[in-house]
Amino acid sequence: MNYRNHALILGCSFSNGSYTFDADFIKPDLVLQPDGSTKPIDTGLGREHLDVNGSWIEQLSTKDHYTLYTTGGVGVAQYSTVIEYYYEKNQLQDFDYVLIQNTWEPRLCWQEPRPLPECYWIQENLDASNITMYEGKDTSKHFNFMSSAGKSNLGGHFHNAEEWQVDMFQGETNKAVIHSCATYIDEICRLCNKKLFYFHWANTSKGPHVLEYEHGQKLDVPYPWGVGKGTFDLFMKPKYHAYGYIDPSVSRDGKDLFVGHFTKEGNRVVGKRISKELEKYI
Amino acid sequence: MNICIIGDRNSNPDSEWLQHLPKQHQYTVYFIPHGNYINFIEVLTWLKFHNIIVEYEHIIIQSANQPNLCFYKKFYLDNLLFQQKDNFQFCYADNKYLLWTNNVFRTPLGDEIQKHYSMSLSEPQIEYLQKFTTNNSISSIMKGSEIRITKLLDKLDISYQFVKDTQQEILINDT
Repeated sequence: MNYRNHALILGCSFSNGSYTFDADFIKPDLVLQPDGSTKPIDTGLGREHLDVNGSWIEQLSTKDHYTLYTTGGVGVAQYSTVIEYYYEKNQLQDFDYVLIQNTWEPRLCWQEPRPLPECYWIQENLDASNITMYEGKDTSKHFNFMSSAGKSNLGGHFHNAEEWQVDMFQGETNKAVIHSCATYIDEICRLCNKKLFYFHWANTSKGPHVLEYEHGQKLDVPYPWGVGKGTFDLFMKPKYHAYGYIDPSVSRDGKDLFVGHFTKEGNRVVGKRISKELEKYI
Repeated sequence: MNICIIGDRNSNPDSEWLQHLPKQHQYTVYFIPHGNYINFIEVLTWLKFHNIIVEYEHIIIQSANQPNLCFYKKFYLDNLLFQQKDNFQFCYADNKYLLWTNNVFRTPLGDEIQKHYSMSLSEPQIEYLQKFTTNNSISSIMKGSEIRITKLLDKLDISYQFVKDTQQEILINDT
């Protein structure tokens, strides 16, 4: 099929599909033990079912083709890795534009030091014929250094080093890394004369970790995450958002509420608005 | 000229390449022993924030920018150590604020960090941390850091040069 444009889209779990909440669905993480073995621990993360269909990307124009790279837990560091791969293969030229779904940062989350095709697989269960989805091989299992509900986290493997983890997370290195990655994406797109579009999934403008792209075009869309002014106001509404009760002893923040991703209907609302904004420029 | 040098362990008070620099200048050397451009971005930002950068007429960035992520405690730059040697003032990061750098927990310095935080990391934990540098993103991070530091320098309106190899002859245009 002849498409109007070919786009490269980079996103985290919020671009991975649509979600439903299921309190009985528990997906444990393998956590390091002092003897070097791993043990499956309920970290409170697995309470959702992911359907790779129903993402916000499906609401974008069907005239275009979308190559999507998505993995739960990743951020701009992983996005820059994808851009580097296509640039060095001289294949960024195959795309007309790049669209970035900015997420909470910093997320120093990555995969094994292997070529990109060995780190991602093609999702075969997509219904949309104009989307090619590459999913990461559970990146956060290989390594993650991110904030979970305000607490730093190294895959849950460092419960004997809480204060050190917090100091690591609050240092300046995190910030310099993610801004370097954003600069890399921005510069490579500029060099290759590729349009770069981006939007923020959540309002992080008050923190030092908000990413902007000097040569990119920020899409004027509300924040999907959150409530009130400047947001879609879909948050914590069962039609649009997956959430529910969780045992506080296993929840990430000690609270009894699991706050998850967006449903198919929530993604539909978000995607339609993104599409409307994007069409102004392409 | 007042010259600012930002470098790694190769810019310490005993470094030979510094002794070959023209004697007529005053040098302030900010050296982050385990750092690279990622940390130098922090230093430049800090110098700019405190309006110190305007004191300098030329900037030298010394590092081979080897793949590494070096973590210091927040505000470590507010607690630099100082040493004067001839026409060089050295301002350097205090190791007591170091949190992690490549292989640090296999060194006495790493033992000090563990002692400070009353922690005892197992070998699998130490190995896990090596993934800070052994991963599929480190290459784009390092390339991005070089682009970013160059952009920061361009915005300062101060002449600058990179020294990636301290064996090379360093020419400073002071005309």
